[in-house]
Amino acid sequence: MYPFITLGDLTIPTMWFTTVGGGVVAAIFVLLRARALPLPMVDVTNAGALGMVGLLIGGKLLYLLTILPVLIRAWAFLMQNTALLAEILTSGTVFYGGLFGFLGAVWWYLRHYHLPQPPFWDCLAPAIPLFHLFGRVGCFLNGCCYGFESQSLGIAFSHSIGAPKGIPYFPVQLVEAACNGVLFLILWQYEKRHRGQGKTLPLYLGLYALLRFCLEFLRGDVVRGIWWGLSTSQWISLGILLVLLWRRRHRKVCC
Amino acid sequence: MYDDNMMNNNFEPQNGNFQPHQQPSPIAIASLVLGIVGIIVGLVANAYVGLICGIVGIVLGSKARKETPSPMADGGFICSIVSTCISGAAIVCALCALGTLVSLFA
Repeated sequence: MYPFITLGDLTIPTMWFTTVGGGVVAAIFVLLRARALPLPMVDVTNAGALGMVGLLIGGKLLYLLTILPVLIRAWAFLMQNTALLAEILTSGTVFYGGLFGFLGAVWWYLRHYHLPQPPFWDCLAPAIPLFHLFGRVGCFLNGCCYGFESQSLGIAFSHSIGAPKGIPYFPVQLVEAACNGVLFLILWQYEKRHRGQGKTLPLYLGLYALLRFCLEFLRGDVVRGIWWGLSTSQWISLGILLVLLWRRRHRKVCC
Repeated sequence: MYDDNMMNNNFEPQNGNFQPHQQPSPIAIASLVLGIVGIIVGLVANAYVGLICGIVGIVLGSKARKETPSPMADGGFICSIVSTCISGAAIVCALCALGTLVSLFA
């Protein structure tokens, strides 16, 4: 589609616009919710910014982990093509890594300054699928994270940095973007009805893990890593669901 | 009734209450410097250096805003966020190189 936008002499990745735009929209939503709850603005903005740092670092680390087997196999080749190695190491990020980085950074901030966790998570959780919606639109415009090859349902990319050009692929990026939009609306309404209970984040994690597990079957890009028939994100989704089930069972046993 | 602080104009209204000016902490100053340097370097030189400056600036700025709030801490925090956003284009998804490698070695 349109992986780059040219403004005069500048060529900027389209995904940068969608990512920053999504971040701005999500930040506005969080600030409006924080004012309504109310939560201290300094802590909300601090936690959000540190979460963004965690998102960048976590997404990059998981990306490097998923490509490690390919890097090992191709190490001799890459040592002779260091520019290619630099491009591979510096480009790319994985959503789940970014999500865990975000959650970890925010959790650390709230714990470090002895702030109550539930209301902050209720405020932040709906913003995650809202941000992700924009990210997936960026993936579609980028031509990455594409779906399976399909003549009837596919869209062929004329300009792409990931999908082979001219072959129609199912636009799973747009499907996931739409699902994230629905997820955002569900979480927003749920949070209004269960304010301050801290249930919004577990609901998001459970619903998104189910969604992602299913959507991964529609993906066509093998670069994301396949392990014993399931993709990296599917294994992570299963792990999240197991943790949530264990947590729910543990609470029932204790109380 | 006037006291010395009011005569010296060291008070400014904040949410209807008068609060004394906090002197900017070294952490706030560092955050502001990193934010500004990150913006400039990210735009004209190396986006990765700008990204690192922005990330460190955010961490220091958030600490300064929480522990020793001041306008400089806020400024450093905002500049560092801008620096991170500008330089973030450096790590945007670009899988063409990886796709080529996978096709050769997977």
